Amino acid sequence: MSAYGAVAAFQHPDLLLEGGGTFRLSLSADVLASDVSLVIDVYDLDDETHPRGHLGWWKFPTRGLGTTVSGRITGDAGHLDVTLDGGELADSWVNPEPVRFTGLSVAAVLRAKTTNAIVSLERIPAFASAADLANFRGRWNRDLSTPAFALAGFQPPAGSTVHVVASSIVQRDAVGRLCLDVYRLLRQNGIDATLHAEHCAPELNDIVRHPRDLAATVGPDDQVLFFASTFDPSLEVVTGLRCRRKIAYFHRVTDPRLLRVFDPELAMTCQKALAQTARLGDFDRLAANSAASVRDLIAALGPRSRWHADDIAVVPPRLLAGVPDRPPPRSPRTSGARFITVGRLKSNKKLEDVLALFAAYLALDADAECWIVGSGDGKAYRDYLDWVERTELGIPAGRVHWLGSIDDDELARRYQSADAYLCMSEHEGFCLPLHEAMLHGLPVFAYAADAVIETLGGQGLCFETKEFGPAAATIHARLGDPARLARMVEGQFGHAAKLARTMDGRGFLDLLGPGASPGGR
Amino acid sequence: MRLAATIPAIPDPRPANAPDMTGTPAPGRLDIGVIIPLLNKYGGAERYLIECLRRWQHRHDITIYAHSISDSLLTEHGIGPGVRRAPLSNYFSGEHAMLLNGTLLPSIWRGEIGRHDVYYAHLWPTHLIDVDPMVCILHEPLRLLYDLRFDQDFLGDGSVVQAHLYPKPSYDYLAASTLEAELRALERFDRIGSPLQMVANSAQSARQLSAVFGRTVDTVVHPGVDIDGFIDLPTDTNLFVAIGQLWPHKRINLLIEAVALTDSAQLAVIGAGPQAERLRLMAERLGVDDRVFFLTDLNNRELRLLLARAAALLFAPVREPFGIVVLEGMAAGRPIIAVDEGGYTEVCHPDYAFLLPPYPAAFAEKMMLLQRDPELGRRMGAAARHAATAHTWQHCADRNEQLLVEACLTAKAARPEAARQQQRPLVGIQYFMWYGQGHGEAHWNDNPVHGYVTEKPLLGFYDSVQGRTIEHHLSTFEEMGLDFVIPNLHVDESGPNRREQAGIRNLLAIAERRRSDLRVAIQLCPYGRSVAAVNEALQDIAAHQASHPNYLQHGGKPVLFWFWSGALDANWEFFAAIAEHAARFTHVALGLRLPSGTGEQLRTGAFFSGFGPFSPLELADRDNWEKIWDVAYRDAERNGMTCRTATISPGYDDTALRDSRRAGNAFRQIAREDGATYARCMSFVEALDPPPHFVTVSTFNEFHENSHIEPTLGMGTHYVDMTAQFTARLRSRHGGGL
Repeated sequence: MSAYGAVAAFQHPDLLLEGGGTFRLSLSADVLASDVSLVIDVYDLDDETHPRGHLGWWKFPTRGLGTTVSGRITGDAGHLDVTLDGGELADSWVNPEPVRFTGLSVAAVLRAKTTNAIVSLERIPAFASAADLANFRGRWNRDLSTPAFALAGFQPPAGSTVHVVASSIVQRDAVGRLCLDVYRLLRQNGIDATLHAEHCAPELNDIVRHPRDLAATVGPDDQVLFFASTFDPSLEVVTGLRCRRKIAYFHRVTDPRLLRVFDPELAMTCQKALAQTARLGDFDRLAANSAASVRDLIAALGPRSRWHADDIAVVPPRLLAGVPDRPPPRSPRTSGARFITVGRLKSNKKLEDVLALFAAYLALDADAECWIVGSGDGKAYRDYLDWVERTELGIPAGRVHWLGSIDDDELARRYQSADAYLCMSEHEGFCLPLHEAMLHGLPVFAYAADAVIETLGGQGLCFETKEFGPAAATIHARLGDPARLARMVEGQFGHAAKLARTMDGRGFLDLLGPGASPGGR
Repeated sequence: MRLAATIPAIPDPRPANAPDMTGTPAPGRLDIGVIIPLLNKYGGAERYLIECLRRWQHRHDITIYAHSISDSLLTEHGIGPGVRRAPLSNYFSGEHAMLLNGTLLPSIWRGEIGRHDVYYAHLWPTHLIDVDPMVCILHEPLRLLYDLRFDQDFLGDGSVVQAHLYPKPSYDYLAASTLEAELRALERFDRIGSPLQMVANSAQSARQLSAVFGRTVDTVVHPGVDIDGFIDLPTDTNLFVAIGQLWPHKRINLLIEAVALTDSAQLAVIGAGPQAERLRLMAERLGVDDRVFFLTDLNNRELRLLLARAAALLFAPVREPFGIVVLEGMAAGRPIIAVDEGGYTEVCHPDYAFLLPPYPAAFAEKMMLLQRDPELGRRMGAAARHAATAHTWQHCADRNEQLLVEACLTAKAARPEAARQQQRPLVGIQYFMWYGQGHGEAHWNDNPVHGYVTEKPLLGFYDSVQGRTIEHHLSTFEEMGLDFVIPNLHVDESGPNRREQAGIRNLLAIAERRRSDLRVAIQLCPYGRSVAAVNEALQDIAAHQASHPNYLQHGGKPVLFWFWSGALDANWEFFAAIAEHAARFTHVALGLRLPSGTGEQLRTGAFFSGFGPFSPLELADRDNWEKIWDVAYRDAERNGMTCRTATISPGYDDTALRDSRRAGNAFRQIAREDGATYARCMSFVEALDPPPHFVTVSTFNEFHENSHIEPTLGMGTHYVDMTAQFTARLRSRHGGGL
């Protein structure tokens, strides 16, 4: 069996229905030795819910198939059919209701016959036309030549490549965004680079490769930059690679206890990630997004590790193309304060505590508003927050605004028109929104989690306990004191600007360059 | 309002002496000894107990005895610090541990458990602890012996058996060759437990207990559930919840197999136990490790959040005695999918519960039915929540409290003398139990400073702790017609005097065994200022002596005398630090000084209920005795003290002691004058109006100060005889009876 076992992988990153809807799959040798079925599962690309966005699934026995199989997706008017050359359809479910779509998500799934468990799953996007596909690919700016970040002060050996590896690469996720920016940084400096991830956004699947390809593509002069933020089966593959240098960048793993009620699957993944973290000690260089993350990493590596905290570089987890000279001007309101908080709707962010703090503030300023920016795939936590807002805290309608996921321009406008930033998160690796808020001149009021304190750099105002009444009174007093507020914002901006100047990519170039190794003793 | 992760204590709406809601006359505040092997997890039995304690804690004195107690668990569920905690010895481990845990351990625990009005015991093997009166809720017979006897796992080559002795949290490992012999021995011993009242938590358990113990167990008190505070969230049709400890007989494996038979169901398994790894591996092998989640150490709010979203509660244990989680699922408005066996089936109805054979496919079918038909789930959930309202913890706690009250009344009926009321002054005597084993040993001329004696007791240089000494002294006390004995307990920086503690334990045990009417009231003698040492003594007295049937009570509380030198006067830090442990006693000072006019508050606050002289002959010259005694008697009353106390003494002479601290004392030698001094004291006391509650004799055997009345070679029984006549006169004047 290979490290990845039985796998059915598409030989192409996408599919055009107007071209006949033909697809080709590679079946690993293990498929033929396993008791599995091949299922082609098709959803609307914009609505992957069953049954609303589910067009259907088609199951084929793998017995008798070769290492390459071809098939075809055909259909119209919201109904599809799937056939496999040489494959006999064993079972299928086709949505009786028509499903209208612009694009499709086509998955090749291997399921164990006895237990029906998923053994492997790979998706590609499919479109009716090449124009639709090009439009889809354009969701990520593919101009990799225009300089945006720092210039590299070294030239790697000719023919060598930097392989950026992460568990998941999607644009709206902080880790994915960082990977893409580092990839852009390398490419703009003429350094050959690849991206690898177990999961990626479908619009990126033409540039993000699966880590199973690493062993075949990594050469002896290459470097691997591994982003560790959650459990990643490819870590085992990476540690086994023979190459010039392996670098791990640790984002910190969320405490599973903060996730287990609303997202037990993610909590379980984090638990596995924590167990896996000690393997990072095998890398040649280590870096982390904050000193707090370094402490976690050192603890995970154990007392017998060759690594010391001083050997681990702290590199901020963001690349910025420029730094503003001063915060945008703003005029504080005397009443009707507008609070903003930004982040994924995950239970470790403790948004219920933001609501509780805001509810306490409403007793002092009934016209206040709370803007919550961000989305999450967890309906359970969102339902809970609704219950907290309406039933438990009884916050009047119209006071809390759930803005969902918004683009960067809209986010900048919100930062500009808000009066203060609230953060009640209990576990962060860095907390980028705090940095953004400080750059926008927003006073930050936060619960004193360790990485939050570190990112604020002694600025802002941290609460050591979650006593919401006293905290609300403190915020109310501070917002009503223009002189102290101005000093607070000025201090925050100075710190944030200094931090931002280190975010031009130089930190990552240093990790990859030939300079003094920050590696372990 | 936020729903707190910590449950608040339930305030008691009823006054302490009000009749309870069941019509049983209340005996007032009970001193309840709660016994449970472990109270460090939130299982069914623990929940049952905790919910009762939450409701009783403000109207009864409660002490929990357990090998391990989680303070955070109690705090989270609203049990306050007023509920005392006392440790029991740990389980045996190693060879034959199971047998020892079922035979010897209950007996060891018996010795560690203090005196209480009534005992409330949960879980095996508390029924084997010989305390009375006991209300015992075993929850289930030891299933290892009975219905699960042949369900144990054999390990390796089959020579070792993995056995679970519930509620012990880990396995015992037994040699297969002696397993049956150990079980037979255990079974014979198990059946001898016979608490006054055995209670079952379901009719099913009642039948099992009746069959095992050969006695009718017909008192069934179902557990309850909190019907308020559940969170209303939209149902996640994929999420199913199972709650329980991960033992084989909980059959979590059945539920995991059921999940594997569905396409998308997820299962949150809430609980811990030795099967965890095996179950995780099973989920992985079935390909559902991404759909089965094992969660431990959830707080109450987290548990409720999971239940609030679940499509149903799954429950599949083998013949569960009750299964409180089913009630909790109902109260959360969740449909129930459960095996059709166990006590909880007594509260289930088809409107909201699928009761099924123990087949994974049967469970999977109902899970998928609820996934397909959310409206059915909603209707079943509403019916479940409505049905849950009939099963409240308040009802459960009230019924259990009624059983404790009845047990108490039954026990009291067997001790009619205990109910008698005080009608005359009670006469007690200062008793020193510090004497060692013969001349030259402790306090028998062991040192010239404070151990020198000039007289020889008729009994010889006795050992105070020895049973025969105590038997002899008790006979003397009874012959004198005394009502109580005041054993002195000296406390210095190193703690209470261990020898005196041992003597006091023997004194009480022997008094009880000989069915003596004599009562005992300890006198604490603090030397130094160690609060920790005094608290240690107070805790020990509270736990082991204060509730003894032979301990002296006054005003509904055990009496504690204090040898009060005045060194701790106005030491408010001291009074504050001992307040919690001191609260359950009536405190009476026997001082070297007088109560302070009307200003005693400025010295000792309201700590003492009575204040009399310890050594009345040392207070003034002979001419002013009656005057100063009267001042002492009246000033105590003027300071608001309700417990009137007077002291008599035959004489005093400490001049043989070479203690420099005594050198300046004014009255070191007060002659006995052949009993005239003693008689003068008696006359004063007999003339007091109102009469005292307590008359104390200083002393029976303080030989160093020659204040003793114990028969000696020199004095014979003269003073004992005088004392007997004195008590007879008091009885004649004031009537008999305590």
